[in-house]
Amino acid sequence: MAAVAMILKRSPYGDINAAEAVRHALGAVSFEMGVDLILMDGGVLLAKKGQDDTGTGFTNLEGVLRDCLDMGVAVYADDISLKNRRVAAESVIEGVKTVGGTAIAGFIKEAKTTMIF
Amino acid sequence: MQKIVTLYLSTSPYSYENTLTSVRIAESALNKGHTVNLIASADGVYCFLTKQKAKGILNAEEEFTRLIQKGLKVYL
Amino acid sequence: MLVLIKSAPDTTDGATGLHLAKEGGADLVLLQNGVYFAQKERLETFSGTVYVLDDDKRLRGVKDSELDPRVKAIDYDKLTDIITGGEKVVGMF
Repeated sequence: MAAVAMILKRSPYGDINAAEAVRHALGAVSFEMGVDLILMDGGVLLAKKGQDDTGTGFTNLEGVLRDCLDMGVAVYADDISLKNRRVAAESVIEGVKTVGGTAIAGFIKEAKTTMIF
Repeated sequence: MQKIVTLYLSTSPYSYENTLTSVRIAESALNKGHTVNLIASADGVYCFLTKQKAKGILNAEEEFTRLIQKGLKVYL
Repeated sequence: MLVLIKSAPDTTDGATGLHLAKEGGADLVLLQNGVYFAQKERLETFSGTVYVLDDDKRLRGVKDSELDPRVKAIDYDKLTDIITGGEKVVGMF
């Protein structure tokens, strides 16, 4: 059971929510809290491979998501949202698990706390 | 031909991508010799506060200060 | 007329921008989350010229192979030329 389920609904870069979600996920996991990071709606676009920040001034959020995975954050992407946003399975960052709505409901139900970005 | 480009910025500096888009367009237009106005309204005015400490993202204060020195005209 | 779209295809703003551009016979510039409109089959029957800001497209990991063949990738300098070269700019949606 995760202590925190973080749900990211907003797509990366257009606003601060994706950056905040991964930042807080890293913060929580560094305090040895169990974290589920659940990507839904536009949030699944965070899991897309090949993000290139060269010359843009942004922090590459693909890199931060990979850091989350390395640190032990469980990252899930909603299968319907991936399909709707045309993110093919081979384009999803390794380690991100594709799951359905029932599984996501289960993660949220079991988590002690939920944060929505 | 020199033109006047007027940008309208109404969002806070670090919550949206609009700050960066405005900086990049303003800089490009200034480099090409155009007159560039930026009207900051609503939360856009926060882009022009001093002593901003943003790291890991474009620092709005630093970027707009640089552009003002290049000729950007800012109206709050 | 030039319409700038910064919102994603699944948003009301994005859809409104595309609709307005279509009805007004405008050209389109896609930036920020609007770059997802540049993917194949998103532009439907839009017949104007479509530009996508390369920085914003790359940042989101959208590959050239995913793009509608009509879409032209541009940088900020080209965007400035398009903005200053036209009569009217509407946006950003």
